[in-house]
Amino acid sequence: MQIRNFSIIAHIDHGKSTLSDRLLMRAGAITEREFKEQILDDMDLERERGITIKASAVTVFHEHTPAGSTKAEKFMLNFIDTPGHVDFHYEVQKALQACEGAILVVDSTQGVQAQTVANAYAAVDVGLEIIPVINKIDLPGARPEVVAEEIEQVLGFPAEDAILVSAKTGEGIDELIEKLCDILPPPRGLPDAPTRALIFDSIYDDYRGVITYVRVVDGELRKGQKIRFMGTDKQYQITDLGKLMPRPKQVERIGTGEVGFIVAAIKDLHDVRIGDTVTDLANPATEALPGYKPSQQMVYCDFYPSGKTQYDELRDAMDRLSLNDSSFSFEPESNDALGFGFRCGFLGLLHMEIIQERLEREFNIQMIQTAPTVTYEVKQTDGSVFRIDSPSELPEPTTVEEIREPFILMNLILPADSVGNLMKLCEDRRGTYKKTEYIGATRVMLQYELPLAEVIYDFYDRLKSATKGYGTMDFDFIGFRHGDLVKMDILVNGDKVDALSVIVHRDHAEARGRKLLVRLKEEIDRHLFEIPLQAAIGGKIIARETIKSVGKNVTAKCYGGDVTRKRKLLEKQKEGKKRMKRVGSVDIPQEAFMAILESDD
Amino acid sequence: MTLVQLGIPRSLDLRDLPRAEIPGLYVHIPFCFHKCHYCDFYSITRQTEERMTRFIDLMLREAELWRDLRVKPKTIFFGGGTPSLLPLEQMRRLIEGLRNRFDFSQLNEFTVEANPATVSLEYCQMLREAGVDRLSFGAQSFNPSELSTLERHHNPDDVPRSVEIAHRARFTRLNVDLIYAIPGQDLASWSQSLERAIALNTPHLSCYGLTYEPNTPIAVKRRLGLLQPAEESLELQMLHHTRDCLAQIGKPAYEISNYATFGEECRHNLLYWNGSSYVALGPSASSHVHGTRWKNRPHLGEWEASITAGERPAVDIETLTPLQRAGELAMLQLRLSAGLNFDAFSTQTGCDARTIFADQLQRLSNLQMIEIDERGFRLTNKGLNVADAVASEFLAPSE
Ligand SMILES: Nc1nc2c(ncn2[C@@H]2O[C@H](COP(=O)(O)OP(=O)(O)OP(=O)(O)O)[C@@H](O)[C@H]2O)c(=O)[nH]1
Ligand code: SF4
Ligand SMILES: [Mg+2]
Repeated sequence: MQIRNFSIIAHIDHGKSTLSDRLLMRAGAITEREFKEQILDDMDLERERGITIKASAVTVFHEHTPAGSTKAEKFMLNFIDTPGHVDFHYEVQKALQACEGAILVVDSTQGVQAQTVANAYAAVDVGLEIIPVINKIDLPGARPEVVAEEIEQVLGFPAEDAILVSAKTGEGIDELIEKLCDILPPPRGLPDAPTRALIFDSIYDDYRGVITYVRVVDGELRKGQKIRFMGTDKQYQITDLGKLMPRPKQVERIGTGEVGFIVAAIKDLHDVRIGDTVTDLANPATEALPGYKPSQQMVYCDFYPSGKTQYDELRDAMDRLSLNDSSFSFEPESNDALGFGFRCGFLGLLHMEIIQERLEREFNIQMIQTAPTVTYEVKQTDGSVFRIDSPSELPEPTTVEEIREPFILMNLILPADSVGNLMKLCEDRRGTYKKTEYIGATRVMLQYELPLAEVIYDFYDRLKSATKGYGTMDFDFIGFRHGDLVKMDILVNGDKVDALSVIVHRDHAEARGRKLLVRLKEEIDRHLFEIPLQAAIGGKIIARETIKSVGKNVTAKCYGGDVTRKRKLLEKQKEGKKRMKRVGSVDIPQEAFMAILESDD
Repeated sequence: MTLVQLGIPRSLDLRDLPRAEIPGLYVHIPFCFHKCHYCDFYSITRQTEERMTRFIDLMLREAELWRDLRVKPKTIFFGGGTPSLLPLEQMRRLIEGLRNRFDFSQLNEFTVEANPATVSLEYCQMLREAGVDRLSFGAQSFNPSELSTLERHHNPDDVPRSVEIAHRARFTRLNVDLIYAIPGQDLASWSQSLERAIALNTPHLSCYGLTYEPNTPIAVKRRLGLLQPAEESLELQMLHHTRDCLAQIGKPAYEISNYATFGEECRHNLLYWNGSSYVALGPSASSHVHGTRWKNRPHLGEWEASITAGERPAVDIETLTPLQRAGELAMLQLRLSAGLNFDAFSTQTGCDARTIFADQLQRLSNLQMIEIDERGFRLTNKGLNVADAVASEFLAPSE
């Protein structure tokens, strides 16, 4: 039997999941009805948002007569549907290393987009054979020839190699499957060598514990086998082996070059490291597989319980969630204004949003979230270097020699007429221009180096509005660089409020500070006394605002004997304050802590 | 969730209430000539003689329903609505009926609110003979255009005429109600109204800043931008001007909106502000008996139905916790110029105000909102401007 392993990659929404489902249906693994229900995206949120968050690997069988042969052979096709959003790029990279090939899907109405480029490069980097596929040719706006040209021009795959398909109608799917079997290389492992299997994913199941997804590179895995994880040095016995077809199906063995999952009574998801190598306990391999770089948390923010939610409930919910999503981290944090909560790390803003949404939805959690920040690298005068992910961790200015911030290489693909706008945006955001390339006659690929901090707020929205929705972006972390960064503190009535501190570029500090204070002024109610608001760097005040004291708050009437009414009225005034945090003697509403989020320059 | 919250009247068991005497009696007469645009008291404007006659029957039956309480009024207040709208005979019957049902032996103040447009000498004489010793006239303003903004249907000259009639009927204890911060009113025009009221030389004056109660026509007009409320600073100016003016002529404020010659304070209202007990008759009227508060059904029809069925019309029954009572008392007494008296407070509530309010007292006196001495504490001039915010600091957190 022949084996082909491949990933399906594309820009977001270009049709990867639909194509995956179509392949399943073509192989008879799912019915027409199941096809319509998007069966590979199985998390509620994935379906509702219509995006894939986690990669999932499935196996189907196909009869195929190889080119130049007359005898039909059985092919085992193992493939992985991947997410398209930039935040989940890490998932794509994990998938790619478990394959020999990739289908690069490009929407025939949209053409090459930023993640098309990013994902194609990622696949080339790990040496995969790539089959370009132009999808959605059933749509009236389809321009398959133009898109084929773009693919050739930007990515260098000959235009005539692109396969035209409609994942929706099934057109071109047979040709695609033929090509998959004929062009993609078979796995190159050594069946007789000691077992080496790459762990590329894991999930937690309430009944069976951790389910570990592996790609067997050398040797094989058998039910009952005693195994060892080479990186963590943990030992287990395989209780079950299986494959997703796409429903889980038990198997006795997983052979060289195949993918499948292991159940081995593993209780904690943290015991399984993605990228680790599984080997045989009795007959171990001498060298582990190269594995992966760990996922990079780019964005941090705090979650604090609010409303009815208690600290313990929030912690339990996050514990449970992290069982399913190892790329999200959290640590206890406390803060004068908001009490006890957690500092959380995410792959990006969408990831943050998704975690927040899952906590609220799946666990019924009420919480407040502080503004997201990035990780900074701090070099102290004594030469030591460490990372901080919260402005409050920044040491005294006198001991800091330099603060470095994460930089990214941004690829933007836009209509040529919006290049001016975007260049302006990038310059405002402290970007460094790298290059421009034309894609066809009307589109441009623009490259900039930018500080990540300038991108996490609203860059994407800006891009979309500046390009009427046509612009797309992708970025890669390129390292920490020196920046003229300072911590800006916010003082409310003379008290520093840690949760409001931000790290900003010195040149932007004043403007940012002023804006922040104006927003705070809108959020904080007038009190019985005047409240000065100040933004300060070190001890120096760089902006100030004042919330005037309540001028008049006296009702003349006391409603005769209806004292209850009067009391209720006053209680209501007071009630509003309950959802606030008192700092010193000032009641700050929760919204104020999100005020830093909104930069509307 | 309690029944009270669900709006289902928990029946009020009078045996649960302390047996101490109840010194206040309020009677709500829910009839008006015409609905004024700022008013949110419960009253109806279409009434016939028959309806008013039946109303008095029901009032007296209600009085019987409360007989098990030891109501021994020191003060009685007939409010509304417009009590003076009751036909003379019915008014007399109401007063006599109440006298037969409650012990009036301790009575030392009996006030009736009256409409300056309609009182007659005969009516006043009847009231005086029946034991009423105090009248309160709703003058509101002496400026015709301000009166029409308020949709008040009387002529400014009705007020001196009514006062004159009252004097002839041997009333000395008179009050005149005024409203300031009426849209379009400036300080000068307010001063004029105030001067005219002062000239009447009544021992008591009430001056209320106009309040925009939700769902009153005037509040709706404001929301729609049809009228411009007075600036906060102007309203405060008017408040302080009034206080200064009346203090100078020997009628200092004894409450945020009430002014009187020494000894001429409204004793009935003082009962409210000092947390005493009172029973109220009539639709929508509120009672308080030793820490339990309730309200009568707020619509005439519903109220009638209860009484006809022989049931007490009480709803929203609420028994305050000692801490709530203490907070409420502080809220009320802060409205008084005398403020809160530590000794009286601890006798009444069993709590030492200095202890339970230690935080508030510290904070508010630092802000110069209140002044504290060995007797008690009270609002400063500065605190007066934000009296509600100050008072709310003393309320026990709900739940
Ligand atoms: N007309 C048409 N629509 C298609 C076709 N393929 C996909 N779509 C639609 O395109 C949208 C996106 O499809 P998905 O399969 O969810 O795209 P995806 O690439 O998996 O998206 P992400 O996982 O979020 O990156 C859906 O509305 C699909 O129904 C096609 O061949 N023709
Ligand atoms: S007369 Fe008094 S109770 Fe009647 S509507 Fe006017 S203000 Fe209200
Ligand atoms: Mg998808």
